[in-house]
Amino acid sequence: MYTVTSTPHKTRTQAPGTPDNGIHQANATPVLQLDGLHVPFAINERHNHDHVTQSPANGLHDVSLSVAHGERIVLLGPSGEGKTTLLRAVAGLSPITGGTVRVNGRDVSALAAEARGTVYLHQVPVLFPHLSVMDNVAFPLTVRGVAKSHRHRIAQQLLDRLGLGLFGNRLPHMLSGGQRHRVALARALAAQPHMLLLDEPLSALDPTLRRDVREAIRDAHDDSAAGLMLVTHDLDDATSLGDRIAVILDRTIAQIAPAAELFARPASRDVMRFLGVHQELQGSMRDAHSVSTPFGVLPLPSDVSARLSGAGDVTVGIRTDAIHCTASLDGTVTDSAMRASSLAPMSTVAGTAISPPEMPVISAAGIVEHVHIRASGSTATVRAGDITVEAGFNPFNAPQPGDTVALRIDTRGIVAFAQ
Amino acid sequence: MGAWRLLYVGALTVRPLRSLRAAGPIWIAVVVALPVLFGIAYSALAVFGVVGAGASASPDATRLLAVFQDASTWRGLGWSVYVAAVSTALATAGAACVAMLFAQNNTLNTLGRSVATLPLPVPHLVAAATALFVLGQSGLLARLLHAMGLIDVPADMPALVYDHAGVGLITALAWKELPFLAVVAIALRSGHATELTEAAHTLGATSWHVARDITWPLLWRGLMPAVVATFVFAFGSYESAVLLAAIDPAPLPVLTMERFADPALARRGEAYGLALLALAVAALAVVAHEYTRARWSGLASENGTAR
Amino acid sequence: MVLLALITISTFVPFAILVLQSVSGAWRWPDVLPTSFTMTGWRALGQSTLGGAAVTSALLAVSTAVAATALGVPVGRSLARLTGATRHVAAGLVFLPVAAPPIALAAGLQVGTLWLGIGGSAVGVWLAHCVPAVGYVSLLMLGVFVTRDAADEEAARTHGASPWQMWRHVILPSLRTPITEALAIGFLISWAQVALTLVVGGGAVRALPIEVLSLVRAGQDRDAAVGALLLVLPAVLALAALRTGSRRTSALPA
Repeated sequence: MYTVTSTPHKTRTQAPGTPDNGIHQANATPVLQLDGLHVPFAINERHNHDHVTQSPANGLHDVSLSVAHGERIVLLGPSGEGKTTLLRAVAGLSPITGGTVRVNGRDVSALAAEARGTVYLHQVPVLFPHLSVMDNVAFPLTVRGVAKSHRHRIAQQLLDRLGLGLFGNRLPHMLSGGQRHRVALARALAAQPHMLLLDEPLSALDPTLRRDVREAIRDAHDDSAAGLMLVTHDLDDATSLGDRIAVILDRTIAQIAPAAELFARPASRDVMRFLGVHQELQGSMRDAHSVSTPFGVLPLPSDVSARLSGAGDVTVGIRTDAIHCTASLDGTVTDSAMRASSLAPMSTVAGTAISPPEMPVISAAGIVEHVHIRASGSTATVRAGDITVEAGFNPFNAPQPGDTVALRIDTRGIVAFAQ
Repeated sequence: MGAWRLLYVGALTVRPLRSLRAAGPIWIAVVVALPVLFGIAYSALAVFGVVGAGASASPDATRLLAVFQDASTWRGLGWSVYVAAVSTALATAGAACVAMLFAQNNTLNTLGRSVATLPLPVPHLVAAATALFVLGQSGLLARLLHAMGLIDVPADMPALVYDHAGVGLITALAWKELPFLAVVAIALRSGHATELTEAAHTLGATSWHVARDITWPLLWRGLMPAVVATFVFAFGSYESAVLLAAIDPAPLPVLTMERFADPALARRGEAYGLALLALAVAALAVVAHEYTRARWSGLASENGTAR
Repeated sequence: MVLLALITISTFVPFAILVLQSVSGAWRWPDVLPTSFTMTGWRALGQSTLGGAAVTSALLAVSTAVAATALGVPVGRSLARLTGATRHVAAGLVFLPVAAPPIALAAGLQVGTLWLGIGGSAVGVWLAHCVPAVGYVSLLMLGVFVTRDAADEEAARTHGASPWQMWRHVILPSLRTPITEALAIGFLISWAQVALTLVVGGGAVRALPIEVLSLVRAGQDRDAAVGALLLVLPAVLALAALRTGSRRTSALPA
């Protein structure tokens, strides 16, 4: 029998940005502030993909961002873009050639890794093989000279918090992958850092382990005034973990925004392409508020059109989740092909009247070519006139290849960039 | 030919033969150890007078008892253990210093590592002879001290060879063994995943803490097999002992050689008892060597799992 | 850096002393340096017992090296197939001849060689030298084969290579460095051997270390130094040669 259970959704008792009156100072200083950072790629750094020579031209430049107390920020970008290098530079493990790093207002740019108040966690958890789990977790306390009984007590608390209360006596090689991640996190917390820096914690993990480690990260970070910055190249990890996402493209930060804003309004065509949630069309501005595309004339949201100055060729992006197809209402669609000209003004399908560009939805007709079933977000490839688009559909009323469908586009999902 | 075929097929199929064949390689190891095993067996028989020089019609334990009751046996054993232990400890400390202080990859450090490991193939004999030249009563050190006005005649020179403390012998052994341990320590140190020190630093450890709590604990665990081997090599070295040690207490290898060459046949039998004692120490060392190897090798390397 | 200076002094001064000693005409108390020099010791090598002993030792050492490697490589490979406790027992057994003090080993070996009728002969001494040498090389090779990836051997076999072809074309070429090290180790074990040669050779086999030992005990410092340098130089040269080779497949730590 299948029982519906509700997963206890761990809510964070503090909104990000509100400092904790416990360990850290109660003020509005960002817990991490990067200003104009230049981070070269190092020649002997362990990149999976990068073997570039050290040179200011090769590396990240002009990186600026700030992280509030308790906030989770994700560095997202293609592999090899330098996200790991940036994280390591913040941690003090890689050099910087310009700019400053401030932790809790203090300039740490010239300080060694151990003096920065940050903890960097490697992609594969690095536990000290000769120490037990308890001693591993207590290590930051050992180097700070904390008395043995006291540090064991704190370590035990942290292990309990991360669900490893009974594992204190084990050695690292006896632990599973998820357990190792949890020990590494507990150990990081023992150092009471201002910033937690996680390097691709979820990459190369199978789905179960991924969920486990994601939970572990939340367990570790919730109710904490520390900031958390993590690196990933996976969009889903970024959206599930980050309060804000910093997209790193072209060796600098292209955009920092919460996930919703990122998907709704990518800052540039490159960001849009990287996110991969938009479908691209070429077009030209028809007037100040609409654009001509092979798909027809599409209206632009006012904030999008405001950013485009004047006429010219533009790249139009339509969010895939803004396009839906449904079986046409009365089953009779006489003209399944969209002709570019006939879209101006909008044509109708099955008698639906279309009004001026202020209406958020436009419709068209098309024929289904393929149906792609996925774990999340199944789509159908629909041909409408000269172009094909990916459209979502109601999974309980899925179209079949060859069906004629009505396409509905929510115009709020349209963005455009000048070329 | 057919018979061999039959045997071969039989080995493949018949169960008892099959398990023997599966465990085949272990018998190869036994063959390699055979001379020692034979030596143990023979020495045991010889010390009871069953075989060998001084064998009598009625085997008895007189020789064995003579060995065990002779004070010089135990003093010799104890002294050999002491000298081997101290020289090994010194060599280990030196090797650890070389590995940890010359860890980086610049010219100075590479030079340091090369220089430290250069005397690796120097035989014990040469090390001992040189120690004699340097530390002897009228050796180079004595002459330097004389040149500095600190002593007048050779007799004034504190005895560093043929002495009870075994200073000269310990120095020679430590000098000879340090390069070997340094080679192992350097390899171990370079095999330590850099992520380990990075993780330690980022958790707040200074370089001193990293050395004390991470590098050194991993280093000594990995070194243990080599340390055990060094101990047993130093313990068993005849040529060093015969050149540098005092007559009394005679180190075990020297004592054994003396008994071997003793004109009195009965005493020759005792040599086998001493050999057994030495082989017992060696057997203990072998067990310790394999145990530490099994427990701690591969601890700090990339895949980080103890075998 | 202080440590570097100490290490340099500690490494080179002994050699310097030996060199000085070997060419010293008169080096009496309290002179810090020899007062006169002579090449007699070196020039006499051709006729002296030292020269002959060096040749004997060289022949012994080379044959030991070859035998130990020829046996140790296949032994190491076979033992690498064992797993778990059996492998530990095997490694222990193979290390036993190396750990055993030579003088204790000599007890049984002397009897053995006498029974075989080769007591007091070079062949007997050679066999005696092979005992620890085979053990050491086997242990070394065990380590090499355990960490080796046997995928290339499997690939060869699925393509129809016979065992001999596999050895010749796949295994041996990849073992160039470990085999060089094994040869060097086998050579050194025999070259430096004292107790085994003394007891098993019964004083009849005059290897170089035996000669040097006698000279030192007899107080003939100059000739002893010549002999000591003869003992040392080839070994150091061999090590330098090893070091310039690749370290990637090294069995010995570099």
